Amino acid sequence: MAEYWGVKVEDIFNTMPERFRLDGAKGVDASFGYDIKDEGKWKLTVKNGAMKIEKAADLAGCVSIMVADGETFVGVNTGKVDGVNAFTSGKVKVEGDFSAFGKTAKMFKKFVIGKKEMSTKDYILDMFGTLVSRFQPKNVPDLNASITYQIGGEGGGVWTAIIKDNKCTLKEGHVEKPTVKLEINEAKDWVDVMLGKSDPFSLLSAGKAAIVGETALAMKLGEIFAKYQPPKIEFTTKDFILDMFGTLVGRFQPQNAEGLDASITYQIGGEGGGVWTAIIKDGKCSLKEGHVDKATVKLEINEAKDWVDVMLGKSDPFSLLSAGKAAIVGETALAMKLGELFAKYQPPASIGGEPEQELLVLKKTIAVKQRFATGPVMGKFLNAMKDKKLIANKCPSCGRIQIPPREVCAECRVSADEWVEVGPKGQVRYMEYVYYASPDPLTGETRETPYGMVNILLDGCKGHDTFAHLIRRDQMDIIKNGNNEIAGTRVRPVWNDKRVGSVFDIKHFEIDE
Amino acid sequence: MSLEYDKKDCFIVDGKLALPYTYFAGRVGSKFITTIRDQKKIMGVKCNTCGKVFVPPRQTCERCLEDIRNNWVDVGNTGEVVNFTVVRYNDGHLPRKAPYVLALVKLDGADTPFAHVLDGLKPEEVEIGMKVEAVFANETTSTILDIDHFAPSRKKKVQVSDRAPAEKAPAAAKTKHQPELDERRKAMSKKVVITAALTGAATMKTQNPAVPYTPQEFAEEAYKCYKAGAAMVHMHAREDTGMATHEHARIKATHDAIKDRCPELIVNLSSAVGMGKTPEQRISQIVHIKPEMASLNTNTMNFSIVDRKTGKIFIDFVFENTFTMLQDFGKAMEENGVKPEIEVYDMGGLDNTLLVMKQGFFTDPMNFNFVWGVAGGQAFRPDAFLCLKNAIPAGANFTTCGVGTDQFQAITMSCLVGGHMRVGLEDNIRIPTGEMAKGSYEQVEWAVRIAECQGREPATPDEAREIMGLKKR
Amino acid sequence: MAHRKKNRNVGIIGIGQTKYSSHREDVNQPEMIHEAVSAALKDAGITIKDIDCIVHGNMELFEMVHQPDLWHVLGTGAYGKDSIRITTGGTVGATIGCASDNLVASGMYDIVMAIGFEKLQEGHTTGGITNMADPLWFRNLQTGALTGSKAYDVIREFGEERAKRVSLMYRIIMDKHAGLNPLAHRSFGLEFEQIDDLVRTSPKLVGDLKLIEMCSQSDGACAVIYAVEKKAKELAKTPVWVRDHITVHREETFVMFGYDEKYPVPMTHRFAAEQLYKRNGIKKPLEYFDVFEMYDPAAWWAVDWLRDFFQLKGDEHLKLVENKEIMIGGKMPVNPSGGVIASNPIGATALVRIAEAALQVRGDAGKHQIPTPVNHALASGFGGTMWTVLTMLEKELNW
Ligand SMILES: [Zn+2]
Ligand SMILES: [Zn+2]
Ligand SMILES: [Zn+2]
Repeated sequence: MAEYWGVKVEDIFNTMPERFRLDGAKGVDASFGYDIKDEGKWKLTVKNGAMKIEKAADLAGCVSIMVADGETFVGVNTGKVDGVNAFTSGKVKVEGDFSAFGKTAKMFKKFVIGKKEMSTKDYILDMFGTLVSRFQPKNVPDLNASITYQIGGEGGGVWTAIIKDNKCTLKEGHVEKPTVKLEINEAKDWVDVMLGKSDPFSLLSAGKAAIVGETALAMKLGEIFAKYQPPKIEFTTKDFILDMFGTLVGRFQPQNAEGLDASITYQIGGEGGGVWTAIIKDGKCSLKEGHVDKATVKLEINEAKDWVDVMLGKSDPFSLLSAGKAAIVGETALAMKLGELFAKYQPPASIGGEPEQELLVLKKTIAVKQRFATGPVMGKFLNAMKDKKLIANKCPSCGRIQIPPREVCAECRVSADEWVEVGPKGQVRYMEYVYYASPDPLTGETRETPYGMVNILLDGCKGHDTFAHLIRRDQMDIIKNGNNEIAGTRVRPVWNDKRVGSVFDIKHFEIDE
Repeated sequence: MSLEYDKKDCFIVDGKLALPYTYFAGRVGSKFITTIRDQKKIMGVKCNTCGKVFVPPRQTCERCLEDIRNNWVDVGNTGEVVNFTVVRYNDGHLPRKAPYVLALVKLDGADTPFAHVLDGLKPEEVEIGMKVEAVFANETTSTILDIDHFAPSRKKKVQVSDRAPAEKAPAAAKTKHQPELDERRKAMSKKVVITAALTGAATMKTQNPAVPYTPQEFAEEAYKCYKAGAAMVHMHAREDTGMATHEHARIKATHDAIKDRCPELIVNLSSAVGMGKTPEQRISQIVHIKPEMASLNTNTMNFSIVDRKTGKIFIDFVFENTFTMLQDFGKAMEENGVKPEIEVYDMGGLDNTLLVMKQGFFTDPMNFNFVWGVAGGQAFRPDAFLCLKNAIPAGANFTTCGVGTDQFQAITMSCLVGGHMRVGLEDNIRIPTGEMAKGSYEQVEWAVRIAECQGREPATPDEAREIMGLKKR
Repeated sequence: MAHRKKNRNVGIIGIGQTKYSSHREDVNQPEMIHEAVSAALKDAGITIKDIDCIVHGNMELFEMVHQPDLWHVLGTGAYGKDSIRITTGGTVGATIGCASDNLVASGMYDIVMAIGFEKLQEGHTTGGITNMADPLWFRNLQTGALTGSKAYDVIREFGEERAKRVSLMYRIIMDKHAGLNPLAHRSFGLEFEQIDDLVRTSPKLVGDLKLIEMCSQSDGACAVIYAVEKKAKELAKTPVWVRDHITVHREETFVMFGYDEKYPVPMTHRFAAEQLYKRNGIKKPLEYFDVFEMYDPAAWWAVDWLRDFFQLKGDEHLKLVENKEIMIGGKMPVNPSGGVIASNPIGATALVRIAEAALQVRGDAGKHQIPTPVNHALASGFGGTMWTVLTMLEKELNW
């Protein structure tokens, strides 16, 4: 049977019972068919919040039947192939009631690339594979006994542990007259017990298991054998990278991508690296291997392992950027939004042996309406702007000019009571060339960068009495800073036609030639 | 000198503060919400120092500043309204359109009230003290609104009055069958000793979440039973995983935790401990800890787990109590000042005891416990009860317990004919209505009602000591 | 200078810090604070019952929550106790230290715990700072805590090549120190050979301020316990004595750009240091202090401020850096902890300076302990629009 991304078609079906979500199956009472080319047919029956999946010769009685080839089927189920695209292109067809089929999507948790996911059978085999090594003769000196495990259900089987002369041997199958026999109806229940998710008494009380023979010996199993530890599974960097991109489309958050039309290229170097491009358009995301023409933004990451650390939350992108281990080419602002465009990557539960706890993160933008009173001094200054005038006040003690004006000179602690008109032209003393995008407090949106903030010594001002405003974007690169000896670039305000008494009645400053 | 301020220059500028933020719920907060979302279950955490159960859970107890992040308890999805208000204005951040009720709900297993929307009734119908239950959201959002709201409880809760024994209870009804009592017993005949068996060896939290495992849980449960009217608790210690243990340290820690929390209470330990334990393991812990009382089993018998409907045997277990063990355990207890509670599972067990007692090591008065409904012992029948009662030595006390539905029938009978009563989750996980018991204490509350109906009063622990011949404290 | 008098001597008896990190998704705010609080109580060998008052602080708005002291009781231990919340911007950590010292020195309380925290991943730091500006005209213009003006000043005074090299040299020294501090958030393993490379490749934020030169944004908390002399001597093996502290504010300075020698801007760092040394009779601070924990939000500022704090002239401050005198083992070790550039949970940051200086005095700084004895330590705080707090710590009660 063919494997796609290390997953067989039957793996998808076999894991359905584990992935089943009661929530998604509410009110569903129907059978669904799957006809997978060269692989066979499966029938899914859902009723009263329970499900059954079985391989079937014919799919009569199904409300709808999905028809696909193995690769597409596995791809859609693992997030490797975009489901919507597959339907649109006809690679997946649904015969019968299409909308009814849609319900199956909500019924199952996502399939996590299964190569590393342990099945019940894997666990059972691993348990018996490690049983002899877990034998603890010092706890039961001179015990002479045979213990049969008769395990039913998927992944089950019969094994007998024979303990004699302080040694333990394992034999497949029954022996004659075992000292005690454990009859477990379902292998998965026993796996739960061994993993500590359930306890043997609950199984026994529920009639899902029984003990035949010397019960007292069965009660001692915890002393006879050391606790079973599931194997720790290591994901390689490459596994992580593949899983990250394999799940990228599934993690896309369309509600945060309204109106976005962009391509994001991840160029990842080092062991396990590669190039992928996420293309976002019309609220949909698709993934393509390799580069595209003119990506909106390109993330260049030198080492795949660094990127894995970032995605796992062990490191942060700023540290990589600071250390020169990564670079952003193109629209930086978009790169900053990646955390909103894609949900956080969650590695498969089996990594590290124990399922990682889901940690909740709430992302919000808080928005509060505010009303600011100008007061008379600032009000006078802002009102003057309606008349294209810049007015300042002067300290009677030290003579400095304050623009915008303040009631007092804080240095001399006296009222600054003399009004003077300054500028509106002046010279640039210092320009902040701003590359870093900070959010606009009025909207929470990230500003467009780079921009230039200029500190202007307006005509009539001296010393540090500078006035801050923006410079025309296309002139940023030719602005010269000045000081007491050297004159800076001369600039003049560009006034808006409609003026309301705001600092943005001046659109920006521009070079005064 | 000041500026000429001109009011006409003053105006208002509209502004807005809009900033993105991210809130991390942390491990404790995340587990609380994901459990609500995925399992439709409300969990709290318990502080082992002050005993408070906090909902919503938190990592530290604010009072004790102790790390309580791992002490998860299931508090159930029902509770009562302890306070409420009606929200009568509309605002964007509110979860409902006005008017709606915002209630403080104290969940049944919690000590802190929890604010949520109360729906499914008119604001004027809300009453403090009304029982409510959580209604979970269909569409989950991984927030506290995964509980959509609370609604009036559909289940009819049987009201149990607070225990306040009648000041002048009528004298116990005399029946023809009542034997002669000595003077002391006459004075005490009105008093009934209620024992709460907090755990057996096999009842697990999965069956009833109130089953205690840790010493702190035992202490808290014992305290509640004491407050409800119990004079004695009987227990089998457990490991944190819930497995029955014969480890001296753990049993002692559990015993001591109960005595610390509730010094007055009588603690009765089990000498059975759990399945598959050796005689040495069973008695050495009693000798080590020297509780005031301990169980003494009287016959080797089947003691199995079965399906009572189909008759299928799940665990076939032989509970070994040979004559030698009966004699050795009995002697060891008496020599160490531990009063045996003699467990009688059938007439044969009683006869075994009557035989061994001829050796003379039992001190008076002897205390019997008639046990009903064990798979391997006898089921409760009133005439069998009278038969046992009439066969015990004169002056001996008897109490009784029953497994499952036998529990309340047997104790009613015992109380009626002058005996004492044992309840608790060891024997039965439910209350007579069929609902899950919130703890052994709830069964104690029921036992108190049975006693009150018959004009008897629960004995205090010291009165119980007097009746059963234990040393005074 | 304002009158200042201590009624009682005060010693630091307990220090607790969390690991500083950009990813604390496993805890919420009170849970993170509790880590530092329990570490400080353990360090002091006392329980929460022994604490008389709690002084709690962080930056306003940085987590987008208000009155966090209300729900932080779970972590601070303030249940049923006197508790004060203070927020003074970047200096808040230093201010809660000063307040705790004052509360004990005055006789109000015997044992006070100062707690600073920040969980910067929860909010938007630069956005928060932007909102501190005058809403009527500057809020939409300014660039948060990021400014290239200091780089511009240093470059203008000392030439581009030397200035850029010295800034990165300072940065790399901090990285080397951070490598010795297991609690530090960022340590890259930078080498001095990388200076030229980093000058070219590190992304620019504002003007010549590069990403590598800017402080990190960290989550973390710090708690420091202050006790009256008698109890400090009873409880601590080596109490660290708070000799003096000074706070200096100035007016709003967002307008203060454009270098002009004829109109020198009064720098609060220089002013605060002058006043502090004068009233404590310290003539040569560079010789007097054994270690300095400086609030260094960016390498450019740090280099420039050394001149102000130690009252240096000309290019003496550059030489301190160029000759690696500020490294562990040098004449004046600065930030053996790695400083703010390595770890910056803002509301805790200035308290961390006091905590780390105190650890140096105790000799308990571990791998980043400086090799020579520490008798006198200095810690600084910086915040708002050029505010300064300086705290002097001593090993002996002999001034
Ligand atoms: Zn002035
Ligand atoms: Zn507590
Ligand atoms: Zn028992």
